[in-house]
Amino acid sequence: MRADGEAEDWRRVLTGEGEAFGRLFDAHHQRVYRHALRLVSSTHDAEDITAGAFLELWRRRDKVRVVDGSVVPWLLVTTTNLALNRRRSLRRHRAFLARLPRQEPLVPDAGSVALSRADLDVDPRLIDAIRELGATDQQLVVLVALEGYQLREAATAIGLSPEAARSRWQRIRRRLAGSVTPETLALAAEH
Amino acid sequence: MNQTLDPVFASGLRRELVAQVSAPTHRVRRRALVVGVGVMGVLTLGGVAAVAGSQPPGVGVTQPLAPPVVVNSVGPANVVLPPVPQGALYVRLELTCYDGLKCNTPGGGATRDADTGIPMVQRDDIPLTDAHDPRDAQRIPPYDPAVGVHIDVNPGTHWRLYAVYTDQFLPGPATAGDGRTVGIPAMIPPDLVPMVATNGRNGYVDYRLLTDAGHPTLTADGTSQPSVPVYDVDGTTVIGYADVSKPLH
Repeated sequence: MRADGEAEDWRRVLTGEGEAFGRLFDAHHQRVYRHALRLVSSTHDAEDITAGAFLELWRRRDKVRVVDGSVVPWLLVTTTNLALNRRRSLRRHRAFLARLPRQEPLVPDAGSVALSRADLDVDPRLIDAIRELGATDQQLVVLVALEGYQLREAATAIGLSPEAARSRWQRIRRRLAGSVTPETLALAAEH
Repeated sequence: MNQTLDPVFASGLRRELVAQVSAPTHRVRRRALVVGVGVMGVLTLGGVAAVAGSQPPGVGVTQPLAPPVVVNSVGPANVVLPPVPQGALYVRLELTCYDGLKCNTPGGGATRDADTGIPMVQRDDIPLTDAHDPRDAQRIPPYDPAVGVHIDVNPGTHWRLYAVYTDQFLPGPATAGDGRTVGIPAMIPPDLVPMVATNGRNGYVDYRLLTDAGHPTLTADGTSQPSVPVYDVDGTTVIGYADVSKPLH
């Protein structure tokens, strides 16, 4: 979706135009879902989080931060927080989630979970390590190491100066050095 | 395990979302407040102890050293403040960002959305001299009038800056007549902060209406928001209204 088209759709969403929200959903739901899949252990949870992220996009429309005409960074940051705190953060949407049609079994399969993370090129130790970080560091690692944003882009998206982001990144690398494949973080730091 | 969202689930979710957005809203709109003639002179100085209005019951409230400044704009900018009044040691800033993910002033810290972690209001104390308060751990460079305060936000971000001169690093709030706190914002902002009404009277406005709870309409050059009531220090008597949507230029 072109950024100007997305900005126009977001403007229409704010006037209550449902189909404009549908177009934003069409454009971004797969990316949000894949991002959620990296962070949780079942397709069922990832579906819930995807639904929760878009519900939050509407519920918190007055506070959504649009970057360069796009709601994607906001969706990814929100998805991260929903995934890492999903029991608490999805509670308010329980009734809504119960209405949605399910095709996958609700019980996660440990084997398929491992497969999914391997398919997604995510070191599962990275996910576990991310959970131990503070909120800002979590967002930084997720946007850089999982979503492929450059460090300076991620800094912009979450409101850090480039210097502060570099400083945080160095600290994160030291902290995660024992639990994450060095290549993952080293590559990201070169951006 | 499938790496794409199940089409049946996606279709059902889309249908529910579109229905939610399309449903009539039941939000209660704030009553629009009619503004009288005149515009608040936010970029002019009023002199020392400009908000010296009535004292009791707000005894002990820290007074600003000049009328507070409120300006609104879009995107990164440098804001040149009015001349620094005599005796001022810090300028207190409250930067509210209504969109975008970046909301920075030279120092300070942000109030973040509880669910998303996104900064909503960045609050800051910028020294006006080299004589830092011992409690001021950041020790950022003093405000340079030739440069102004740098508003570091994403392009297109709508923001509002409230700035007030003070001779204290962390002025403590006093209690208004109705029990709310009143004074110059510090680490924890009070309920009511100094403001000059369009009729020229000095009083206090609701901090939340000034910042993140104002819900202004976002415009091409800043924000549009109905004028907010200005209270006497008792926190209940309305003495005028203030324009908080004045553009930067």
